[in-house]
Amino acid sequence: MLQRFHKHHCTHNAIAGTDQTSLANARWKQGLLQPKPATRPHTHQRCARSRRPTVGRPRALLGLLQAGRAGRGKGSSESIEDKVLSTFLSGSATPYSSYIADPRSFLHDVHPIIKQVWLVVVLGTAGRAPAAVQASLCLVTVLQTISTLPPRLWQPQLKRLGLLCTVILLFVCIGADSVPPKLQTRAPPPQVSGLPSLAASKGAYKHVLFHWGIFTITQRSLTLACSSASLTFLALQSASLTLTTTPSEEIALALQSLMSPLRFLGVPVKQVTLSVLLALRFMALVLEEMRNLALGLAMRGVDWKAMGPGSGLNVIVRLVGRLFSNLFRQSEAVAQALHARGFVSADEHTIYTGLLHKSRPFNNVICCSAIAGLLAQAFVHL
Amino acid sequence: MAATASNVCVSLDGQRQVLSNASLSIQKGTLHMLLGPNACGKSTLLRVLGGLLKPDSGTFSVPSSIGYVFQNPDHQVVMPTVAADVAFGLGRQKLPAAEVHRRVLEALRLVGMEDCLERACHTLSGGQKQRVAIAGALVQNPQVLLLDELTTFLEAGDQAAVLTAVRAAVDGPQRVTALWVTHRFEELTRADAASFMDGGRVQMTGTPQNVLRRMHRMKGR
Ligand SMILES: Nc1ncnc2c1ncn2[C@@H]1O[C@H](COP(=O)(O)OP(=O)(O)OP(=O)(O)O)[C@@H](O)[C@H]1O
Ligand SMILES: [Mg+2]
Repeated sequence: MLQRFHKHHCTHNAIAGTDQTSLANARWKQGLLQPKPATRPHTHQRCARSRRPTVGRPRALLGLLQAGRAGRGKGSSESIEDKVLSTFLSGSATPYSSYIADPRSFLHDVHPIIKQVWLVVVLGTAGRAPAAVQASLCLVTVLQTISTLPPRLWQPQLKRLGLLCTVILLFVCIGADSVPPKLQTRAPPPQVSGLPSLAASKGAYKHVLFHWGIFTITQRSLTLACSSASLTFLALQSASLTLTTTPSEEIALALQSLMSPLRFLGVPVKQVTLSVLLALRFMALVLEEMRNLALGLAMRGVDWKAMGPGSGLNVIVRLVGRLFSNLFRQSEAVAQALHARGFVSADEHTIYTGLLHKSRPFNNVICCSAIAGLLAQAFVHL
Repeated sequence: MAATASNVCVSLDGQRQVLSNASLSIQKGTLHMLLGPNACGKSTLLRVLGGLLKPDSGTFSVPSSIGYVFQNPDHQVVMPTVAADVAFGLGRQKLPAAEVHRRVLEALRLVGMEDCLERACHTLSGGQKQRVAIAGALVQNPQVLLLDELTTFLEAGDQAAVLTAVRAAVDGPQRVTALWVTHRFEELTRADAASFMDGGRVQMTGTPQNVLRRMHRMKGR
């Protein structure tokens, strides 16, 4: 196992600085003597049929990291660099949300353009909507998530997002009005003018809801906290739902048709669409490359303590340089492959999804009326 | 003959001779394997045949429709979803969506990946990705497939699956001709013919057994 990964690393990640030709030549000679099964240089996820991401691989990588450390007899103490490295290796190689073809849900059969318009409308209106509307929007989004995604996906997703929004809620609630600057108003204070103070005379409405030491929660901070938390939740979760229920190509093509009027202003709409798609595909490559570099570092079992302070930063700087040069090499190869596959220019190339998805009128109508309702509500509260 | 190259010379940087009088001819409807040590110029010959590199001298003839598959599928699979990636090669034609879908499905069926139509490409294994790349080449109905060390990065199971996929395309109704560059001798058993390259030229062409025998004799020396 160790050997396999090591071989992979040396031959395919130039970080080792090994002469690729000589190594590969050794491989050829090996092949002459005894044909060997191949190594797996790219740490692809093995998902034969299921869409479940494997957890085995990160574990194996962590094992490697530990093996590297044990090799130099320092298994007990873990330096910061090691911790950073293991976080890296145990992280997910897939971007946040990717398309889930099945089970098909209500949202799968909604037209991608409508989903994108919904996203924009939610972002534009939810922040200023009354609390009741915000709460019901969040509720609908949660229900939609639960009904769309399998439990193994929505449970951690909602948990993470819920935590984030709670943190935002608390911090804004406490932070917004707790340390108000001390201001002198232009009007004289009530004791000078002889009038009863306003706050004392009115009991029904209280601007300050809670006050203890330096903590103050006011009507304003509460509203602000609710708005920012719900807006964060709605923005992230609706985007995630759109991504999980629409193939990336359909999203890009919908974007293309939404942007097509801009063609008359000279915007290269087709090029933008293709760039978006290539960027989506490339994102996975970048993550993979980063993991490969981290793996190479882990394999070496570097003794950070012996290298002295600042060594971690030094290595990181050099790794980033390496990452970029590897990525540039990869993109050159991708460009050549595009050419070999008949690509000449974005304007002459049609992007086909290769799928025959048809949205359902019923689903579209429901979503359109939801959008209309949201817009009407925003208009009323303008 | 489906593809021929005669006395092709290529020098990179204007000095180092990478191909010197390389000649090769491949029969139609066969799986032809090309072997040789590293840096002997196999990939360069393939690039010449694929029209990606202009030779300094010599001639070559290939059909107008060629499919090229690179060693690393990560570079070839460019779209986020399998179906769209396979359909990418059709981008220059104006086709109805149903026709595109039919051809994508047909190509994927040939490589045994028809279940993965809607999968995100980054969730595929190396061998699956390589088969998607082959489907992406097959969808254009090429007469010749140029395949550069497809199985180097793969595990035994994936290797066999990829080779089977190419074999299916060769034996299929379209009678595709495939030129397969490899380092693996065990793959030779599935070939119809083989060539051995060294020092920038094709040293011999013959049946897989003959080529294998010749190489073992060289190893003995
Ligand atoms: N882009 C390039 N720039 C400079 N030299 C190159 C380039 N591509 C290939 N070469 C050189 O050309 C020679 C032949 O390379 P080629 O890739 O054709 O070998 P190969 O037989 O395919 O080897 P391998 O089995 O390792 O794939 C090598 O010496 C290589 O260093
Ligand atoms: Mg090569």
